[in-house]
Amino acid sequence: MDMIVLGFETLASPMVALMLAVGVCAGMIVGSIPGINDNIAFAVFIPFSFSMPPEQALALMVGVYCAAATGGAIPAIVIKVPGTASSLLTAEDGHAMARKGHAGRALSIALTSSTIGGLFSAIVLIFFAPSLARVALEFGYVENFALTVLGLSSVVGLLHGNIIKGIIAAIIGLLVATVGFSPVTGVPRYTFGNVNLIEGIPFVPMLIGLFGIAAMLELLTDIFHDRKARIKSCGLPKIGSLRLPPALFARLVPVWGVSAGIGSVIGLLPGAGMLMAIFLAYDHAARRFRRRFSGRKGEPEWGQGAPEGIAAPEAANNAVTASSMIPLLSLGIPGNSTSALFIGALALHGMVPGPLLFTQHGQIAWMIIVAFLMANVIMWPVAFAVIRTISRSIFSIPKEAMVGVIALLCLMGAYSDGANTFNMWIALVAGLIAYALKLAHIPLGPCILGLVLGSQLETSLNNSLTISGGNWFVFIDPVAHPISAAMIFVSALLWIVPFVLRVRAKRSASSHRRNIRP
Amino acid sequence: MQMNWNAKAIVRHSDTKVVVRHSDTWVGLALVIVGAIASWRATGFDVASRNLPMMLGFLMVVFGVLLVRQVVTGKARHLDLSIPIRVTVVTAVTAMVWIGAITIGLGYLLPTFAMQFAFLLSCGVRDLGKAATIAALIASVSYLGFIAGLGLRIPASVAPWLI
Repeated sequence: MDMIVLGFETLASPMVALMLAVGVCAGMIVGSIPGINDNIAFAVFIPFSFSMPPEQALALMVGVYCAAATGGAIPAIVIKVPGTASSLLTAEDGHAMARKGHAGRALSIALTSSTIGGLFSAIVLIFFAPSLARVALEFGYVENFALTVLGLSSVVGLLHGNIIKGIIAAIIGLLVATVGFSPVTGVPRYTFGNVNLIEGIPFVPMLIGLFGIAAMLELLTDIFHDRKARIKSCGLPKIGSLRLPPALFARLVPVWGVSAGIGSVIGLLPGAGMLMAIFLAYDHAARRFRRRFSGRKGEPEWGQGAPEGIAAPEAANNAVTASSMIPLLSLGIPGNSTSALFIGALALHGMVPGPLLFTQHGQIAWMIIVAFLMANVIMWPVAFAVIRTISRSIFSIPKEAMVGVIALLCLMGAYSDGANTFNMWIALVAGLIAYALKLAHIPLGPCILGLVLGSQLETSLNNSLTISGGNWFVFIDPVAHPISAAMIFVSALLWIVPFVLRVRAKRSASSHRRNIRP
Repeated sequence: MQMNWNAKAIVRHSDTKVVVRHSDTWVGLALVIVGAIASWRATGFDVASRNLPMMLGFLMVVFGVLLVRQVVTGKARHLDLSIPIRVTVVTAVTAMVWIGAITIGLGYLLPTFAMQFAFLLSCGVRDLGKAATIAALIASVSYLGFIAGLGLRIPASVAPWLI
């Protein structure tokens, strides 16, 4: 409790509170620009936070992170173009409701759902992150190795589709993490005589490139495909009243509860990401809607303006924001790509996420946690203000102008980390590689996790083997290292279960085919 | 942002020509080459430092081969790379020229104006006056933000009037 008070005290400092509010406003505005996702929003704000004291900088970044995920719902509803990928499903029912003349109600549902989802997961963050960090403080090299294996396994195990490409992504990330001084002997590796690479590839410019430049390239691709014509063709609907009727509020409470719960749990899993959360929540809400409301008089069809279709994805995506910080703050493992960028924001101020953050920078760690709670409180009125004032101007910003602006912000952001032009090259090359990976359908999540965990994996593996005299079974010793054995067991399950399920699905499909043959 | 627009249907690739033209074939081969070079370079490191990079390089070769095998067995998706190649070339050339100009000391405003102008033209803005106005606006606002506001120091310019 004392620590929560400490977090509030730090946040109560006028400049820190102001930066949180600025972050929320800026995140809301940037998030509501079509084509700018929450990763870009976060990446472009990193340079602005560089010259600030850490408390102010991190409060700003928390505000941007929370609000950008919410802001994406505004263009999704008004012009059916999701501002962020997390608002993909909101566009269906949200825009349908807007076209029926209830844009204000749709926006109100989305923003209230986002706020409730965000608050729910902020409370989860307050309770879980410090407890998990306390457990993680007891970890030795053996447990740390098992933890990195678990982190990598969870992200590969949760992948859908081509598993080979997921593994390739993780290998690329791990290999890139070996550039620079060896953590074991200090020998420089893959530096090619370049002094800028001695401490490894600069992390912040690399992240800015992987997310910001890559997203800018995707935007340019969209423009080359002339998608803009679709956006221009639909006029803006009248927003109208933003009032949420009490009966509708009561009807949505169970949806908010379940969706926020789903988002919070998914956010905890490294690499699972927002999309999985919104799809699961949307699916649950669809089943509930069909069971209870479908076919009733005055009720729309699912996908044609159902309030649950807006509430579920919005509550789920904002629930992911804070809960994805639980593995990051307590274990040093990012829950999703934007929380991976948070590592960069922390690194700029000389902090490393993980259990030691709570002991070495407890004041800031608790301030971040409390800031998630407060950002969601501020977000609600800010969102309504943005809708009422500048949203129409935001939608008129041409995509063409955004390409150059994003490129400039990303390159300057990379440069601002040490005022080194080499960092701009890193950002550019990282962006081009990330774009190529996306084109080849190689997921970026495992790659980021490999980058983040590579050094820890190597150090903990070497030290564990040195201490145990080269005994590889030390990691699965249930007596001396029960936590490690449990984590390795769960990692093994994460690999085996999807494989077994796939084999069973194939068998049942083939037996089904045999049965229906004459 | 969805990138499914260029993913074509899964097809059987018994034809050698199709396998050779398939994007995953080239990705797989690139992985094999990079993995082999990484493993070879790792042999020059000391014993304690070379295990992980060597193993990762080897795994990259193995999975590169598996990716090519997927193309041969027809499990991979083919991509049309004509637009992505244009996008990559436009961005890489524009950004490289801008970084080069900043590095050699042409100041901030001129290279930034040129970069924004080039991006706007690439994006299809045909009104040169409009493109120049937007580019000038972005260059000056970002100068006020980064250089004057945040105090970011860019490499010294070759002439005092180049800011």
